[in-house]
Amino acid sequence: MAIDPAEVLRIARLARLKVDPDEARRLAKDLDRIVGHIDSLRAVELPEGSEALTCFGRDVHRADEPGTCLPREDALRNAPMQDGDFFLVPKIVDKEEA
Amino acid sequence: MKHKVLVGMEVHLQLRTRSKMFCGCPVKFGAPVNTLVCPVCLGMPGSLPVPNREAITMALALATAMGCEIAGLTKFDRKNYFYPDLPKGYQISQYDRPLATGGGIEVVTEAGAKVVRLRRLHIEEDVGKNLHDDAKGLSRVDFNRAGTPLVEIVSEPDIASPEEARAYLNALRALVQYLDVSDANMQEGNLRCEPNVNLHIESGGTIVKTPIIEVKNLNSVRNVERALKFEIDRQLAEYRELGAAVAARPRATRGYDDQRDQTFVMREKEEAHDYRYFPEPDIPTFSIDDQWRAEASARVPELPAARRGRFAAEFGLSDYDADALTRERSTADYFEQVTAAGAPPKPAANWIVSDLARHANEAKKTVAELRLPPARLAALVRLVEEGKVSRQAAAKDLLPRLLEGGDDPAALVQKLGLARIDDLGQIEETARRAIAANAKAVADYRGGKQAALNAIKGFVMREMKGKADPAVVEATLRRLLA
Amino acid sequence: MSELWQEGAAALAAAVRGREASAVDVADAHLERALRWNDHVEAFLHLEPEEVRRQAREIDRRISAGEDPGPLAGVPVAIKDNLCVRGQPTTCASRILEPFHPPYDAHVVERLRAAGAILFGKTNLDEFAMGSSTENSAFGPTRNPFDLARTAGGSSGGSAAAVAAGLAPLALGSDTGGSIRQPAALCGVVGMKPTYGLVSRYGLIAFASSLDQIGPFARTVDDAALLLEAIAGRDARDATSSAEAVPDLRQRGDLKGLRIGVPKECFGEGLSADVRTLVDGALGKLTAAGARIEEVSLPLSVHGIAVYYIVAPSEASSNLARYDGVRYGIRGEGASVEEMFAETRGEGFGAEVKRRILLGTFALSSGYYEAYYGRAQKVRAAMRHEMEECFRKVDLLASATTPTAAFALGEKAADPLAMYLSDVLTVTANLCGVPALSLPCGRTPAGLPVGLQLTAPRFGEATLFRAARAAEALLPLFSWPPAPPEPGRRQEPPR
Ligand SMILES: [Zn+2]
Repeated sequence: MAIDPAEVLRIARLARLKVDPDEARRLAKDLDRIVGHIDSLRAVELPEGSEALTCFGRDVHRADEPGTCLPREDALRNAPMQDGDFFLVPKIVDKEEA
Repeated sequence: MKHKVLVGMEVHLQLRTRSKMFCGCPVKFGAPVNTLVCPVCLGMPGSLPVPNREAITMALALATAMGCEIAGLTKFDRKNYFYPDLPKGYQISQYDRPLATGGGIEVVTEAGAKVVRLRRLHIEEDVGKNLHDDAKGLSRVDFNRAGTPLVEIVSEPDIASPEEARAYLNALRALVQYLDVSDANMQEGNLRCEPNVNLHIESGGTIVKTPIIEVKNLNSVRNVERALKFEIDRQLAEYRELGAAVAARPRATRGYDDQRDQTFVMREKEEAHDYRYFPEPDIPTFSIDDQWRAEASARVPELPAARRGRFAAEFGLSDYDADALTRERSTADYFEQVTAAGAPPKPAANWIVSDLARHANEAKKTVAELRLPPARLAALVRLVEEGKVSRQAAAKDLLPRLLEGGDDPAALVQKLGLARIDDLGQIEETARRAIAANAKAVADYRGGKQAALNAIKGFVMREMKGKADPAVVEATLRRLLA
Repeated sequence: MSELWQEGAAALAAAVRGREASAVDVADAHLERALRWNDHVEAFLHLEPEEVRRQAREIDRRISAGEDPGPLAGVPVAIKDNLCVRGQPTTCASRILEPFHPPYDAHVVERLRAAGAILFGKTNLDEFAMGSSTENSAFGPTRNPFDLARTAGGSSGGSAAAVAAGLAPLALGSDTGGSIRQPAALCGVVGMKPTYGLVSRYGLIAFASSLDQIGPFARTVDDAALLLEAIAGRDARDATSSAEAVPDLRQRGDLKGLRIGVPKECFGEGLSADVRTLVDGALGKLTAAGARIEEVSLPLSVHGIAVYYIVAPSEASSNLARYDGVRYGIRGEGASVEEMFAETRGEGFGAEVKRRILLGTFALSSGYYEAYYGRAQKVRAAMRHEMEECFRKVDLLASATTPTAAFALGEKAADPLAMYLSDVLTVTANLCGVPALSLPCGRTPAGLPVGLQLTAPRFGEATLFRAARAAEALLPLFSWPPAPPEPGRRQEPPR
């Protein structure tokens, strides 16, 4: 799989990362080499029906017991923009994600 | 040209747990904004999710009640997308190993009963809420709801009409209320549904499929029905305009505007979402063992469909009455308490389904919430059945007093002078006065207009304050006018 | 008694609990040294002398009141700046979190407070722990105390350098692919990555959730055990924290009959001659002390880097999605939410973090998932199985911790792949969830420390620490780095 600047821009859009064209060219070069290395995995022979490792451990749950919440001022304190009640963001146009 | 409607339903249901899905914040409505939050549900750096076992048990009970196949081993996955109300930049959901698959919901419409098959049921977390402030050009975000446990229930496109869609939602709502796992109130947003709809149009031996449209912004069962009606007509019109070329139109998401009663394009899908699902590494996989299944099964009570059947068979009720009584679990329980208190079942059903239901509706309550003691309603039903008070007088004068807290119905009948008048002489005398005072109606009746009799009868009943037996009044009038 | 800053943690705690030294004296000795050295090594991102003294005074107050503040009474512990400390800056060495002050303590921080430790500043790291040199810190690199022109390693370079230079007797780091063991090796101290699940990750700002683990830095194995004891054990807030009993970390014993496997894949061509010589010498001493050294093979481990550089960036791309400018951190300009997101993240993240987010986003994206993430997790499962099989034959594995001693700052900064490949000996332990410890095994002719890595099966910490103690006794003692140039005169690293 070769990664070119157009592919970098496609991924960057998915990742909501602003990347300028120069940066995209540099990143494409880096990523292409890295992907070239990780592509070596394609050649690894695995037994039929190999399971993927997802997580160590098994069956961990908690009881349905309410705990304590943060005071609102602590919840909002780190926000770049807030009005004492809400977190504020630039106007949202559409619920849908492109 | 024949067409077939295919509607699939995607329902999100908030579970009524005490705490959120992955943290200890309480689940409740109406708290001040951004006060039911903690580092976990705010997606603070370093915080971690721990799944709420009770939410999973509730989902299992629901899956059991719908006859789903429950997974032996399951896991959570991350669904990655960006939105201001989504604290972590991903939603913890379930992707390729949902909690349950298959099963179905029985729906009853005038066309009869049928089973809508289900595709899958899984657990996920809710997002926060955005409020738009047009004046400042800003949006405000409240995370109280973020992390509330949801089950998503996806049906096969088996729903064949807007009426069936309504019946499906009513049946699902009844089910979750019976299981006591959710308030399932669409206005409050604890039941949200997104139907998808398209048509298979047969013309000249070929079938043209209209593009699948997903409809959003639906906040009541009625709006679901109206939106689907609009959408079916719109797709038919589009077919008439474009013919077979309609099949090449893009799939789209449309919003419903209930003021205008129409749907509008929100987004046309050029490419599918790329949610980059992958197994949630912060939560170990988990198995649903026999013990857990048994625990969930034990929570499944007699369900609406079974109860409906039993009511019809055991009490000889009509399908309509049995269905109306069993839609709310508390109403069905109430009916059984009233019969247990000595009321004959059929009239008791009729009182509940018509009179009490009307009062409940006006008060925006359920029948049970009217808090009329079952024994008192049973006494009222018996008084009517024994002919001590007329049905009308009981409904008009006695019932309201009882709902206001009046106790002993028999004493009230005496006190209010509601006892039924069986004096035929008094009835005949009033009937004669009615005939004299309603010349026009009398003429119409004699001219063959049967309905005109109602006006004369109404006069008699008014004169006698509803205390006479309407059947006797009618018979008397017919005799006098013959 | 030597200077307080030269003492180990156990000795300091004993002195404070025995009222031979006050916690304030201990804190001041370390503060004095840290404030002087930090100009040169840049181990700390934040160090508030007043806050440190406040904690120390509180410990002294409790001791005069007859209380026992705990096993780490009055011991300064430096904290990697990706661990949340309530109300203190916690930046992950990233611009995007520069203004962030968490409203809560990480589990390990709570445990340290409960053990009587003094939270002694926040140490430098590669941004979001992504790197092997701390050159990816948005606030400048940490320098190796043994050669200020060289790297202290990474990502926990600040913690390693702080302990090596005597700025703190103990430090916490996090290890996702070697981020504790590699800087420990390069700075000549003990660094240990516990079994995945032994220490709660609650409050550790996630890089790669299935690999991250918090662990100790110290100048001796005993001190490392003391710190691990204080932080290990089940925490209900981390679903991946294990319910297994914490292994006994205090065992002592010799090496007689201990079977130590030496994976041949770890002694390939990338290993520098200096490192090979010191590691071979160390293995010789272990053999002489009765250990049975045997060659083993872990054929899949050669794919470790490839698996690691799929799994870690994939998880990271998702873990770092939360930095969107809404609830914390910096916010970029933007008329729409979408613009704001992209600006915030474009400005806030450094080059390496962007590279990894993009790599991970790519590996998870539609059409590539099976070929990359799916396949990597399958190879990983097979690697874990291979490792388990190997531990049927041997008790521990031994190898070098790093292929080379500390490299010069700037040497690999322009070549991300070369930097990635330097993790080759450490990533396997993370991928398999097993514990591993690096301890110093000597210095190169240029005076640079080299580390010996011991790896145990899951929850095999008892054997790991017992063997490390015995090995430590056979290997050269810890020695202090040379004094830095005159105060205030700062050496610029070559660029
Ligand atoms: Zn919460």
